[in-house]
Amino acid sequence: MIAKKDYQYGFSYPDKAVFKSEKGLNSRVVEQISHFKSEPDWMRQQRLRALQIFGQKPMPPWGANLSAINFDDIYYYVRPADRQVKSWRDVPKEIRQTYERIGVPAAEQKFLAGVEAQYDSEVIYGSLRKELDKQGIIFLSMDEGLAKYPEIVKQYFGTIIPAADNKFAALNSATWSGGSFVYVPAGVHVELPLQAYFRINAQNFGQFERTLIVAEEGSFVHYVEGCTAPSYTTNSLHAAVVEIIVKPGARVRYTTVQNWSRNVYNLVTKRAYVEEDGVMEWIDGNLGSKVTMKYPSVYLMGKGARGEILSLAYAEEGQHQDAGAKAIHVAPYTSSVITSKSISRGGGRTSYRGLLEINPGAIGARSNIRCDALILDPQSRSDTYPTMKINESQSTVEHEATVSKIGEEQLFYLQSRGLTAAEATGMVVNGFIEPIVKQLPLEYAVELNRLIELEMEGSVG
Amino acid sequence: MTKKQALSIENLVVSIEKKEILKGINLKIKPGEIHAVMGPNGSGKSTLAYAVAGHPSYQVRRGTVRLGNKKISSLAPEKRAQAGIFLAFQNPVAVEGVSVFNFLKTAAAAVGRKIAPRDFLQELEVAAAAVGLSQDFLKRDLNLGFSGGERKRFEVLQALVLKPKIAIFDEIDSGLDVDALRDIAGQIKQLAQGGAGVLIVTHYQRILKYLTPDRVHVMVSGKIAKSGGADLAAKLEEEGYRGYR
Amino acid sequence: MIFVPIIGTKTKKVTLLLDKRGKEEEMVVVFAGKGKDEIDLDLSSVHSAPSTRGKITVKGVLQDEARARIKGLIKIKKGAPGSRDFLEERTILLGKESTVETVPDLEIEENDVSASHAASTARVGEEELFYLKSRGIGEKEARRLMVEGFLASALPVEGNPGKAVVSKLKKVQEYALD
Repeated sequence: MIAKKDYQYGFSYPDKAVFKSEKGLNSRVVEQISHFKSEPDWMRQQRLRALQIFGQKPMPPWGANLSAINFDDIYYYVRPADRQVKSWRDVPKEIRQTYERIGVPAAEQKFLAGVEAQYDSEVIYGSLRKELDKQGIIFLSMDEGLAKYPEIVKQYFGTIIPAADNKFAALNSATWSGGSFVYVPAGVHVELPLQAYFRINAQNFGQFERTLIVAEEGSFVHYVEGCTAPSYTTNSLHAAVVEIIVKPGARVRYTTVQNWSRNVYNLVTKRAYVEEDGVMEWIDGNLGSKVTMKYPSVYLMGKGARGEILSLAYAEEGQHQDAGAKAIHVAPYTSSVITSKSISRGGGRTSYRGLLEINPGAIGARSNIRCDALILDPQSRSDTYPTMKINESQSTVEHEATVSKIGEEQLFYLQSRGLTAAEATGMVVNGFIEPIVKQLPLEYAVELNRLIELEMEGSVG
Repeated sequence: MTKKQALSIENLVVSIEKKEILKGINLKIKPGEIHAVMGPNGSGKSTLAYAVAGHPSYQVRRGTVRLGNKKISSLAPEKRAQAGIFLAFQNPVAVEGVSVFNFLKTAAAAVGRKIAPRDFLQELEVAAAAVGLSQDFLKRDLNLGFSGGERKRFEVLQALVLKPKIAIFDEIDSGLDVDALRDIAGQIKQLAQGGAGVLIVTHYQRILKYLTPDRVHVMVSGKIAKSGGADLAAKLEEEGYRGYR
Repeated sequence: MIFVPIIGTKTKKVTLLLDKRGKEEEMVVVFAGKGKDEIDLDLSSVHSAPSTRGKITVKGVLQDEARARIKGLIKIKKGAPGSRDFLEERTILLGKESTVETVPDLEIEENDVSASHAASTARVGEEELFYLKSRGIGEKEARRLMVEGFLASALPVEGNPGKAVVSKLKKVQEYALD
């Protein structure tokens, strides 16, 4: 996103990466990654098995066009600094400058409980406030989590998204680096949102962070991730995996606003298992990247489990946002709500892709899906591909979708009150996405609204 | 409908999803009498109406409901209707694809009214005019797209056509303007004059300006706190429900 | 209006071609399945000319272990501005083992259009049943009224569908109920 004239985040620092693996993917690279992280043997074995699966699995026959990805032309691991830092001052100067330009320090003071900033797939800055420590909340990089709490990690890692799930989950399982490990003990409510940023810097570099969140019974946590990346002429690949387990009565909210630069392939597998009376909320904003394929999912495993997925997609020239949601109802009296809002402009393409499954025995399951799309001009395109498999008659499912442009009456009404065409369009578009934006943390909401307004200035007349 | 019968509610205890709402209600409505049950929100007034009609979500824990000598509190809803119970719903549900005419024809037959189709149609036209509904509503789908006022009027029309022994009106006055209220009050009076026992459930006393009840019962927290004559309603209007909580 | 009654196991593909400026087409499909019936429908509405209007309405009832797969597509190609379309797929599942897969797709390449779809699956509504029963109508009769009414509501409100369509609809209703 952001008009071609000025990509605000289009800067990059000379490559100060300390170690770079060779280009391409093979078992030697995977062994190196595991070795440099000093991982336990079982993780190394898992990586190697995943590598095999990756080789065997075909590319998905549906979705966006991924033919330009050349897996041999990518660096799979870089480690910029040798140790993880605990306070802002200890972060290497260049990296600090990068974050200052994005505005992290100010935000960190006001909003964040702890920040982990990822630079070239290694978490180099993490800090845990005293309160989090006291409550027994664990918020570490995935690497640290594996090192310090191997038993917990081993219990859950790969159980929600196994390597065999899809080609990119296999890739991630083989080459993962960075990401977050969050563990919230029973009954604990994490008051402030946990936040992390990701960046890609080295050319032809893949980002494979792996996040695991375990929310014990009755707990609550809100995890926020938002990222920007500098522009490149060759393609970058981001294949992340997020696994979340919501135990009985717990609630997890995972907010993402993605604004990758226009050459990134963003292929992410995100899934949550929700147990009895648990609640999972995915808020997924897709603004950037060349191609995004991402379908946050909830598997409603326990009675009374609930899932809500809010998806926002914006596509401009050369972009294809293939996003959506999946809800699988396994247990009775489960409910899911999916809301998708997408906007395509200047030749962009948004596709909503969704799956709703109600398994036999999921008596009393309810689901409500609403997808709305705005196509701002005749060059752009929007699709909706929802699939609903209802295998339990005692359930209720409602689905609605609309595609349209902005109504002339709406524009005229606003213009008759003094707004320019661009301002009017901006206002209508912001109104269109408001149900999702109001669920975003304040700084994202503000940034997003401003970005939309900037965009509309380029779009009208 | 030959014999007129009284509705007797004895020590009725009703719960919904294991939560007890009615805690022992005693009430007797004789043919031709108009009773009003008034109370604040949450007092259980609508529960009483639904429980008498036999809604499956409401479990009778103790006590009985009788129509004449017949115990109806264990009967299925359609059997209660066939026995002569009628409930005008507060929020009547829409049933797509079922025309009003078809519905009324089937319901009339179900409660045992034997009437030739042409006579029935004429009766419906008269009744529609009486409650202020236009003739074309007969062709519309049941309650589909009806305004709030139209739904209420249509509930009253059904009471006129199905000729019940006991007619219960759940918040019939909400959403109606003064003229509509006056008309409907007139229709309800006629029902009572024709021998039906009438129960009006409400928390405002608006409709009671046009229709004098024989008995007024104040319901609070699932019990009848006080019963009296029509003047009790005026007292409630002045003093509210606080004195009875 | 193209009326497509589907009784029992059947595979059917119907496409509305809106290929001339201003063309209007409407498709109504009613289906009923029971026992081990399998119904497979592939319905689409393809707009390739400007100011065209399409509408697809699918309503069906499944009992016992009957299965249905309903694939619907509204496609508005470049060069068809000013087009409108609405796809509706609704299924009532009467039997414990009845299942349905419904896939209503939209592929829209013009922006000056109005395209929407709605899909739902449910059992016969409990509140609606109670309303009918509270008027003395028995369980079986109440269900009959609702299922017949549901299938009949697939036909457009305006205009007379004609004797042929009504008699075909009746056959579907009968199959759904006995």
